[in-house]
Amino acid sequence: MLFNLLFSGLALGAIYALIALGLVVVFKGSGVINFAHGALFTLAAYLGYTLLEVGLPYGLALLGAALGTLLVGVAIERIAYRPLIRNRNPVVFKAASIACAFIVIGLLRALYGQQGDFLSYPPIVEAGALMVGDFIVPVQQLILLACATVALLAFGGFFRFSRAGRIMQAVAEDPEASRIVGINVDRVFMLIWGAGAFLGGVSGVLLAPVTMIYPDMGLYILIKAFAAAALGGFDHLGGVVLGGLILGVLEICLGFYFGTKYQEIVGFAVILLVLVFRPQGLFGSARFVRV
Amino acid sequence: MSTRDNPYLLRSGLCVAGLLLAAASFFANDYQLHVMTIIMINIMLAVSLNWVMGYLGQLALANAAIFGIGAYTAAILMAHWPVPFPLAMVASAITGSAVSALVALPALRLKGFFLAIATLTFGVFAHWIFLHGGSITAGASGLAFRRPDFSAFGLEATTGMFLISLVTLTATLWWTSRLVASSFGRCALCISEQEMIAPTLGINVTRHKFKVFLVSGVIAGGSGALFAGLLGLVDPESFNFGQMVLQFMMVVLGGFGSIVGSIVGAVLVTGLIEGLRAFKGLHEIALGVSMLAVILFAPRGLYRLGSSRWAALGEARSGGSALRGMTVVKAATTAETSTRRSVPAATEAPALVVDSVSKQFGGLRAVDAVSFEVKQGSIHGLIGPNGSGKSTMLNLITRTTALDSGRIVMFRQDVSALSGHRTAAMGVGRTFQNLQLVGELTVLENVMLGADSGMQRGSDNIAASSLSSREDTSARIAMESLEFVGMGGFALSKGTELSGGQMRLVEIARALATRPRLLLLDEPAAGLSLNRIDTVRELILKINRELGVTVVLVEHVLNLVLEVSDNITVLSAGKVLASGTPEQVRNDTAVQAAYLGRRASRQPKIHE
Repeated sequence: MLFNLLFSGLALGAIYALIALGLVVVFKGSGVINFAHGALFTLAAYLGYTLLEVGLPYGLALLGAALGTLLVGVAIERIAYRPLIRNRNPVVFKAASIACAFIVIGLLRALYGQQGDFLSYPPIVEAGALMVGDFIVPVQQLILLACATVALLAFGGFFRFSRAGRIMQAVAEDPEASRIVGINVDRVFMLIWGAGAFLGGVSGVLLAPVTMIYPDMGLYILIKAFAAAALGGFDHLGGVVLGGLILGVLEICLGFYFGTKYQEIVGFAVILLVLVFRPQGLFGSARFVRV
Repeated sequence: MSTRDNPYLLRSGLCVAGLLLAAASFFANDYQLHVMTIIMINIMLAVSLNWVMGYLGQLALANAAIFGIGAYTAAILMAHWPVPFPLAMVASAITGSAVSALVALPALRLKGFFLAIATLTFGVFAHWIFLHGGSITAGASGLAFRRPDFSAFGLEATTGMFLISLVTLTATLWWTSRLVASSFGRCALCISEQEMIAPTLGINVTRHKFKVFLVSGVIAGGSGALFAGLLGLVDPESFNFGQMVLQFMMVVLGGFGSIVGSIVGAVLVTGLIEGLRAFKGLHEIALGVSMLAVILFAPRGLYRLGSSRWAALGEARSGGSALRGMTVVKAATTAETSTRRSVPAATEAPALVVDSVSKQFGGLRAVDAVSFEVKQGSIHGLIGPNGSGKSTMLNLITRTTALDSGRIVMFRQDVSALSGHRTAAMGVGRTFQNLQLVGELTVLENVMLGADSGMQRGSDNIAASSLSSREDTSARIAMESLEFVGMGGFALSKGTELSGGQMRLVEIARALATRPRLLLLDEPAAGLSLNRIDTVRELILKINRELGVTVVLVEHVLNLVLEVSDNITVLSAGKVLASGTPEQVRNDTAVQAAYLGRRASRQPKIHE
């Protein structure tokens, strides 16, 4: 039983890690929290749903949805981040990204609302289970975990080893210095927001078959992303992944022993406790967080 | 981030609007009354959120939760016991303020986005409790109860709630506009923009933050009771994240730190929602687009987009209390010449004793066992090359930074363990190396921040006097200080409109308005032209000779220091290199070496 709980927890946690990673990449790269990240997640789920309806194969629908989300992420950077850089006021950035979230959610509600409040997303594979040794492993979760792991590793590799990834790191570290050495900082910001949105998109399409999709789903996902990021430390990519995994396992275990309605409490508790008692999280540095 | 409203204009407008609305209640139908009541509740919510976000500058997003907790408090009381509505409303306001104080706790530690995340989570958590509160909150279907009964007055329930909301709204706006136009509002703006300097003006930042959150919570909690009374039903979805975002939008659209803006924003948002209710998703798109547009094209809010006539009113508004103060000043300064304190005898105990004080930042010993004494009534220069620890020393004296070891004694009292605002209250004023005026306040109001602090410990019996006479006194003291530094003509300018040199003078005036016994000046001449430096020199001497204030002067313009100081302490790499009279210091070889290299000339002359 414990194995199964752990396994489902890790599968869920891997998705949380992916979502939180998108959030943190943008924060680390551009210094703002994108409150539209949850809306991007929702958008990807709906895009994937539509592409599947049109009849695209599963893999293509996933990719298409994530790419579509990437474009919207880039658009948000263009409209709601770049013009405001000079302002440097968190309230304004926050208001701008919330406005974007509202527009996306409103559009989704307007376009899909007549199909019902909740839509069910077709599963990746028919429900089934594999026997691994003595353990029963649900295929659905196995695929989830595998996809999320691949995405995490791919992104880690991209960020660490590719030229574009290194440039992004440089800009995140010091935009002004990067500009001086000839990096096109504006384009890198675009890349960063695109990458963040892409990660959100992938996780949206991956998680959609497990849950129903509805326009307001993004808020609850955003809270999970906050929790994972807070736990790991908002400026530490590896820590955030670990934070997501811990959160997933905690949620599944608590849900199993106390009932699913308590599952959500985990996220709330993690955020409030961490931010009040150890604002920098497990691995982050305090300078971003404290007054 | 904000501008202040003219209380008189606001109040007369209020009275007229209130009477009109009260009359309207006899003609409007139930639906219209309902919508108008919702608008009034939303105005209160916008004002409540504006206190925390606009005036205090804290990105706290728990207002919907506090509103909800207020509503549930009233509903639970009225559902189970025969509690009269006004009593339930008081209970809601109290609960609201208590919860708001709880929300203030993270606001003391977290900044910007992280406070937003923590408070947003709190809000979602509260929604979860409403949803899963079992029989107490009655879950998703909501808690229904009998609406308040107004038959004793011959009124329908809706009309009754409309009138009660109208009265509450009027009272809220009245009270709030009073607070805005007092030192309470000024201090909030100071914390919002320049939290670091607030303690040096005697503001207890922690306590003031709590107070503002309490005010905000009382309003939000009370509005919750009105909302519950209006519907006779409270359900979790009325207080979800969407509701929070709507309140946030009201404040952003209307304008931060403006009561009139809150009204504009609340009317607009409520109108859009009601108007577009029939179309799914459309109000979200409309609100999102208009919020983006406002952020991009009118970042200070719609309220300030009005005609030039409004803009002119706006200027008067930002004078607010101060404008009134001006007329008083004119009368006062002609009638009586201001009373100056006598110069204390130079033989008294030292004004300041720094006793082997150390401070370490990471691996750097910024201040290393530094000791010096400042004689009462003297001007004491503190010089040294860049990075020698001068500014850190000032920060240690004003308790902006805590010291690691050593002792600081001020006027015979050990202040080593005092908090910043308490040190300021002992009569220590200071200016900063980087200009620190509150940009949203006028010059006069900036200086009034200092005057408020001086009045608090002064002999003026301020507790007994009314708000307006307190404001007048504060404005008078501030105006005197401004005249003293020669900036009286700029009293009604915005802090941001001045040149660097002018800002410095205003900062000195602000520090003087606290009526300090000890004044710490951090590079008052930095970046000034030569004749401005002369002005500053004269001013420092005048402060010392006429007002009898002991001055500690940190400065890079050596000639200025050498000319005005009675004694000088030279710091280098965190240690005392030399101390003595200007003549001794000037001839000290170690000092010459530190400043000019070993073989340099004997007489350092930077400005001739």
